[in-house]
Amino acid sequence: MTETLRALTDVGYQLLSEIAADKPSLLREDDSAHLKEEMNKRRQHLPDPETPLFTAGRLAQPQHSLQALAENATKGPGSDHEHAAYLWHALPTVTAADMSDPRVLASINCFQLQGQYVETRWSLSKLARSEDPKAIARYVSSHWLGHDKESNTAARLWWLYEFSRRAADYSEHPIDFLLRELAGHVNFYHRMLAHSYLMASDRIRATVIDVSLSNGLLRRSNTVETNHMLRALNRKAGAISLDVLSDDELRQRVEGVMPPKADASHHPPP
Amino acid sequence: MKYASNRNFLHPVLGQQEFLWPAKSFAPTVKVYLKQSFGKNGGPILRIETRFRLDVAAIDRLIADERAVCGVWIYCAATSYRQFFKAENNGNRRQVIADIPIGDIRGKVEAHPQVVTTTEVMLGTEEAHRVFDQEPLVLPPGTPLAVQPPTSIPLLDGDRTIKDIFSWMEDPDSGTAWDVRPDPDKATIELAADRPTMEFLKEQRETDSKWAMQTLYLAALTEALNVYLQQVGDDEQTEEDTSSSGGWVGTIKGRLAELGIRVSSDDQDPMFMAGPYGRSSTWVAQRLLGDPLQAPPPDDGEEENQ
Repeated sequence: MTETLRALTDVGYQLLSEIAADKPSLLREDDSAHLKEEMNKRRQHLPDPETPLFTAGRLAQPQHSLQALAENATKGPGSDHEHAAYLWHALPTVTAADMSDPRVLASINCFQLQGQYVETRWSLSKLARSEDPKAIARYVSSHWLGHDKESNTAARLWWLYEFSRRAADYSEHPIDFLLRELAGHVNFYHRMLAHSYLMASDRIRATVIDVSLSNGLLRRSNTVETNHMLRALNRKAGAISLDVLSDDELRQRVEGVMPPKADASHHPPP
Repeated sequence: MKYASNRNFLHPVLGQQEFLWPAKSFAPTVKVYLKQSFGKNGGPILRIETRFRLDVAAIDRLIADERAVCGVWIYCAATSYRQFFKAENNGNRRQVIADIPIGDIRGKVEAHPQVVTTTEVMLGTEEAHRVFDQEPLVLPPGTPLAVQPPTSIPLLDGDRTIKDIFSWMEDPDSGTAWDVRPDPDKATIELAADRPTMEFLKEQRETDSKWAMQTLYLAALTEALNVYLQQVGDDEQTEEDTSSSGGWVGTIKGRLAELGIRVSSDDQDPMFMAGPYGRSSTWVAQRLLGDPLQAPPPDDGEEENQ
């Protein structure tokens, strides 16, 4: 039986944030029992010590245990594509709204994945290795508590799959291929996330990915080139409504902002 | 209670033989309410209903000929939701009914009513506004002919705390259903800054060309904002360029600060931030125009250089 997923209440999230600021090591432990204990202890100092820390209703019942992810955690993004698919399929009923809510994301990170997965996944980070208390608190806040699709652990995995799934409806590539490409080329993927206004459109995102694969830009994973391309497209989108263009016209516009192809060998496999 | 945004916002280039610009308008009305949906997915939906009043015959013809499309696109930054909904004819008016599952949106939702070309459109000098009377105009697909500043709909926390901003009423007609409408005491539907714009437009009525220039100004300002963002991204340039570019960077910077819009600290790819979310340069430009820059468009015929 998997552990029921419940969202934190506002009070629960606030207490967790306070703990992250002054006792961040509790969030990094493999077992969340001490973290729950600390939250309960702090609750006793609230005007109403019975204030619930989690919402009463069940948000979701994971289809398979997220603990398995913790046991297979690896450093860096190398396994993100596999873990993204695993997490998404474990929580088939959660919505985009849920997975943009820091109270839901913190609940998954702290009490489903627990410290072990998050700690291992992000251990390459400079912040993870820092001795500076402020840097440690920032590290915990970023990967456990925020809602950033790039760095919050649960959000990153779920949105990687979700973006790939939605783009696959318009792309010439299947979802698994898109997922592997996006997860494997973080400098391209992170720059895409920074242009949320443009990339919110599944069709525009799919076209940008397809053309970038064809051009070789995606696999070069070059931050500067990708930035340049996305800024140029954003400038076009400021004067032209890309949403109403036909598929061919949209593709032409995107091709028009691509850098020159560097090497024919960068063509994606069929 | 109706949450509506009515304003006149002229298209940039289409002219009228009668040349009655002040009487012509693009005036969408946006209504927002929450209701229960049925069917295979069921659950609460946010219904955004947009009705268009458009009394510019030339644009009507383009839409009828399927050379332009009238519709609304809806955007939610938090959940990366962005969909374009094409208006359907309902009797003698156009309207869009967009039903969006609550699970697809969180936080602010923007609605952008607009008319946009879908094919290349060439306007003869007799069709275009007289400020463009020198040669025919070629508009590429996707050119906005009429736009309305975004209507921003704060929807806090999806369906969990929706009760905090909406009042819930039983629907006696359907028995089991319920209909939810914004509570005027609780809801805060944010509309575009209409008043300053209308005041600004009133001041400009004497010269017809300036009405058309308003929308061109929007495009120019959007472009300027993109350049501004790039300069911010290039770090050291900002302060120096404030003086070397004749002060427009400084002017924009000051106006952004007044509107509470800041530039993100991501030095690799800065973007405009309002609240917790990134905003497009078009969105920012519309707000700047809604409360125009200190310097109005010039009085003479040099507007194209702005």
